[in-house]
Amino acid sequence: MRILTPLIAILGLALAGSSSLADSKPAPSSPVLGKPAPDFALKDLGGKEVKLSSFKGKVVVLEWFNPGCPFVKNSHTVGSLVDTARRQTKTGVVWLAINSGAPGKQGNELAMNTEAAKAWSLPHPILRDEAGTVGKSYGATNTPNMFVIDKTGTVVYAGAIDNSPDGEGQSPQGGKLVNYVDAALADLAAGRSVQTAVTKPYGCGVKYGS
Amino acid sequence: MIAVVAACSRDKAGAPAPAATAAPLATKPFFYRIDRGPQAPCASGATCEARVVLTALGNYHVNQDYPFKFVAAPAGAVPIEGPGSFALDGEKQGTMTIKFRPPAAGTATLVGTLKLSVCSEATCEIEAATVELAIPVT
Repeated sequence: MRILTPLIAILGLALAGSSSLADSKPAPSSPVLGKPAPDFALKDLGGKEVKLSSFKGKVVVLEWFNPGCPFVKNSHTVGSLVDTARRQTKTGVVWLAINSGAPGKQGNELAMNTEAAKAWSLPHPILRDEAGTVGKSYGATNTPNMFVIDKTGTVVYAGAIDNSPDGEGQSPQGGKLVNYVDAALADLAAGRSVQTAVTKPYGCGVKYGS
Repeated sequence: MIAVVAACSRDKAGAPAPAATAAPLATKPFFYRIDRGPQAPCASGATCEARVVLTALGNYHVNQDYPFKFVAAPAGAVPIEGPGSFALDGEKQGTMTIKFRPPAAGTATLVGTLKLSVCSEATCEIEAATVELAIPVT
């Protein structure tokens, strides 16, 4: 009984804890936020290798991409990704789209990516991560899923492009559309820490192979 | 009408099957169907509620993160209050409740577009389904 009583108490506490966890939505998080951005070398659609480390000292935005995902399509045709990359790259920000879709999965085909880059006038490279190792190293779960890396190479934002989970910018939570990447980049430009550093990404799941 | 919804059975994938006897308001085979939900009595001049039930079909489930909304057709004769509210009834089903205020007794016809999203393991779909609902008004 001496042994059983504390065991029962511990079990009760554990059950109570698990119940409260199940009742509330987990706060958004990212395994790389506040940490050095994992380096990578990936090839773009033309076969040219792009290394993250080659942009040392610059602000870099990573956008997880799948041209077959309707949320990505909405974001690039009517939503927050229509012109964000174009505006930001003009200020010196490096913008890299990464497709971690495995061969045979939605949005992996080279031609489809090439057509999307042309149709949406993307001013930045689309990098192919067919093995999914880079996507997994960043904990990328959705398309689109955005990461902002500051000049020191630290991930300072991870999450959604905005607060309108239809991808169209037409249903902002709280009533006012917020482009989280624009906001993070504005914070960096102003020399302050990123105010909203992590949000829950929305959209399609990344089509990893396994 | 309540009995129809309450008596629904389940399909092979475990989804609550829509009423077998009623034609859906809208459907996309293998992806989703939209059926009329239970209708409470509605009086002219009062705020009434209409319900439509979205059921994901086959391997699809309702995208719980999507901001579902009902967009009234510009030419619709019945004023609709807001974009509607969507409540999940499980992984495969959800109900959109639309508030409206019918100006007169008779039949109020709600016409609009239900913006929805369903996903499978392989892909997500965003759809805009045209829905027309005739509601008796006393």
